[in-house]
Amino acid sequence: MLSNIFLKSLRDQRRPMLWWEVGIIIVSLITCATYPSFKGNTQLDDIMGDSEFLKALAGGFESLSSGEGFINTQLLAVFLPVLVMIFVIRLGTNTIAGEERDATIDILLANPVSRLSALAQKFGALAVSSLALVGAVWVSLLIGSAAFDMGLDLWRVTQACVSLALFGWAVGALALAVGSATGKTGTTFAITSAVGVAAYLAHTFAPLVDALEPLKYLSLFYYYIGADPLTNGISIAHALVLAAVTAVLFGVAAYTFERRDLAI
Amino acid sequence: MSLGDSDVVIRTEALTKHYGSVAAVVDADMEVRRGEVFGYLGPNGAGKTTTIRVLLDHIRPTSGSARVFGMDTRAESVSIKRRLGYLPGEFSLYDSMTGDEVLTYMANLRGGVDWDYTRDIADRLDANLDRKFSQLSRGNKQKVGLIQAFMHKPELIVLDEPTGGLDPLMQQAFYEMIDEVKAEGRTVFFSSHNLPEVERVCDRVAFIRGGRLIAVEDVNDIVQKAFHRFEARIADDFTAEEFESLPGVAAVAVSGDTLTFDVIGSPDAVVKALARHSVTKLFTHESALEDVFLAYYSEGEQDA
Repeated sequence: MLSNIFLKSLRDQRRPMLWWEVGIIIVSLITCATYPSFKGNTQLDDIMGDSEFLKALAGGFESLSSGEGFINTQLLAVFLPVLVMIFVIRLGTNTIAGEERDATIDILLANPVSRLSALAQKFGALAVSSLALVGAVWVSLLIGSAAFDMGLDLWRVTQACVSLALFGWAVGALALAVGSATGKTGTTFAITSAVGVAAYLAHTFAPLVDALEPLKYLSLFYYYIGADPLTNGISIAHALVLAAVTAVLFGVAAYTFERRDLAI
Repeated sequence: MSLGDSDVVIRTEALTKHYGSVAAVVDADMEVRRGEVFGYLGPNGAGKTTTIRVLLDHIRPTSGSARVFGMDTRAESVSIKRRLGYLPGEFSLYDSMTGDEVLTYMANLRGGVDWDYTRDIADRLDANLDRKFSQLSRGNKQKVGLIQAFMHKPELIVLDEPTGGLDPLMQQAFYEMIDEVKAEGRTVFFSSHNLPEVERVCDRVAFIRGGRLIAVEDVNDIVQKAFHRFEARIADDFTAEEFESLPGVAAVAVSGDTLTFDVIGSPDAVVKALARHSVTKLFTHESALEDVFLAYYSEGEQDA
């Protein structure tokens, strides 16, 4: 696990990863366990259907009575993407800015490793870690669906999880880009979190006001779940947007990091 | 006296680095030759660390250039780093990893090292490699840092104030490691503000002050020029005149039974003159490195 920066960065996540995964599985399963009391209860759906605001609060979904609707509103719309966001922002911030804050980058980059390679390996580790996290989501949803008779489709669950992973990569790439440009962990964490919250608000509440509705197209949340991948399957166009955002932000990270002095 | 690229390991040309409006290094021209131990001296904040970080491509020159092994530090930094070992002045390694794990990681990033040699220097430095880095004292952290700078037997070792935190015994072990590197024809670039240390290990020294290189000298010449202040308590009668005429002696002063004077170079004549008297106490004070340089480069100082 110490043979290169990629594996070493994954190794650093061993312990926190375990807790994140256990936490996600427990919370997801507990949530799924409440499904039987919602199942087939269309009264809630009627209330939700009448109020755009309630619908917005539930992440744009109005049905709680179907398995898909329940998982969307209870887990996929807000809770899980926010967790994934926190996870990748933390990792993306620590990637470069964290090593600069700890002054470990001084010796790390005295090795024959280019800055681009260090950055790519660390982002690779972030990408794999967030996949592992989303893997825990996938497992929980499949177990929850089977145990509580939610009738989720394996293939659709997989596609929703892919969408969540792509979302995580894009947010992680944002943290990486800000961290690589500034070299400051505090700044990176603050800016990235603010963008995350803004993206959530833009996706959730902008549709309530006609004039603001186009703002949702600026939100990573929209491309993650706007097309409801759990019900309809993943939108290739939206997935491509997330992938493109990730690629562009990684490019920004590489460009800015290559050109500046290390903050040590 | 420009040398060919194969003989010059580090060459800076008009190297200048500004941080905002602060000039950390200004117009530094320097050549470090293959196989020498080159001391880079100056008070804190003089620009030593800035110069070293440029060599590592951690920071980029505002103007001028630096070449290591004939390669540009910006364009070919990975190739340079493959042949270089580095210990920063203020550094940190991964807190949650043990010394062994850190060294394994660094060795892997370098494509492997000679573990027999690595274990040998770890033994000589009496390094504790089983503990987590966060649990090590400053001196023990320094040892891990030194080992990772030496373990791949690089052609050039760049050390920024390497003996900070080492006890005298370990400093001795470290000096021996430097001697071995030199004996193998490898090069050491070494920043310090400690004159005895420089005297002990370096062949040549550059002195930097306020970001400007004010002198590059052979250590032997510096030592010749360095003065030591002596203070002697003498029980019997003596006069200042007995000592004033001795070679290399200056600033003779008498106060009661106490005689003080400066000696440049060998103290032999003074010791023989003192031997004629009954000396009850004898002190000597190392002159501050900066004073030595300022005394001998006062013309240079005027334009600084």
